[in-house]
Amino acid sequence: MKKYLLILILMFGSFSFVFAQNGQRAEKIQELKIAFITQKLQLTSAEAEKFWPVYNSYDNEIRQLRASNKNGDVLENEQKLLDIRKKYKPSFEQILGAQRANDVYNAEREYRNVLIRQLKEQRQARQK
Amino acid sequence: MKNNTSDIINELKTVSPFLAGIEKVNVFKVPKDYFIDLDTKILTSVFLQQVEKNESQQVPTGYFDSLSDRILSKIKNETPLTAIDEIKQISPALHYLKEEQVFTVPENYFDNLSDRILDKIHLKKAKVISLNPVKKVWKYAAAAVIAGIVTISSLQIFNQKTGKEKIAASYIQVARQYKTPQKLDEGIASLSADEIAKYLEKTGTVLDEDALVKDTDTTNLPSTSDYLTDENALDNFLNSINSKSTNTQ
Repeated sequence: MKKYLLILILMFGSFSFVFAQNGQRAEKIQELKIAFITQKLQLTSAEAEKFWPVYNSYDNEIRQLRASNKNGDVLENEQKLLDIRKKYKPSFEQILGAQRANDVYNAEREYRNVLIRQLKEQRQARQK
Repeated sequence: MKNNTSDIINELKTVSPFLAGIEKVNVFKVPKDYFIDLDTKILTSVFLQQVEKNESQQVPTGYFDSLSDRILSKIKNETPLTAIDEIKQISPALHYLKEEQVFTVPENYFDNLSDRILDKIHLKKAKVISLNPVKKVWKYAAAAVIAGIVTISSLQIFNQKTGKEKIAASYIQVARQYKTPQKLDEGIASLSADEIAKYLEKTGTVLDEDALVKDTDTTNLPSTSDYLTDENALDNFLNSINSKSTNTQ
């Protein structure tokens, strides 16, 4: 009995370990951003396969910066943010070409604008 | 010399007039005729002491010559005691006890003794616990641990290898949920104000707060599909605003 228990515990341990890594699901707003960028850049599936891993690490880096420097110097944080965006530009260019690499950053900004518009529309709708 | 003594006396007078004033008298006395025959007196007393010493440590002549023989012959002459006599001397009570065997043993008592004892003890068979099962458990445990480590590490490596592909696949799949601009619009419309506000706040930069703060007429802001269909949507929008403001000015 003991041995079976031990084996079971070990198996569950390893499974939970593996599942824990796959368990993250993006928020809806994040999913929409991905869809927006995909459509904006008109990514082919071959491009998407190369582009998203790079974008993922870019996005993670920015998220880490935001999480770690919440109360830091604002301008310095902006500078770091800019550094990260500059750092990834060549990688994006390699996959998408210069113009569309530029559009990656545009698309991000535009998505924000779309959201802002949505937010304001909702507020105005409430005021009426 | 005379000068010296007078000098000394003078000095003494200056140092201690009291000492100088004391009369010169010999304070030690000797008994009358003390030194007459003093040497003979001393010698006789020393001699007497020596004589006394000699007498006290004298040994009969030839005492040690045959000492060992004499001791041995004395021992030999003594008749040795028998064991009984000795006991008689040491403990008369024991000696007068009858020399009899007091303990008796039934006949053939020792012939089948061990069998009889074993018969009396009804031997129950003890539970036999062999060492093997314990070893087996440990074998299984070790195997399980190793297997666990191997699977975990291999999965880890596997994940690393396919990590990029996985990420790409998940992104592509997410994008597929909102394939057309219309669907994207619907998705964005379904977001709650809270959600959007939180996201904008979380990911905001100094550069793009203007659009949030300014009370621009949002109905004219390019919509999602405008952005997607027209490359210059934002530029057009900004231009239109600029031309408006210049007109009003």
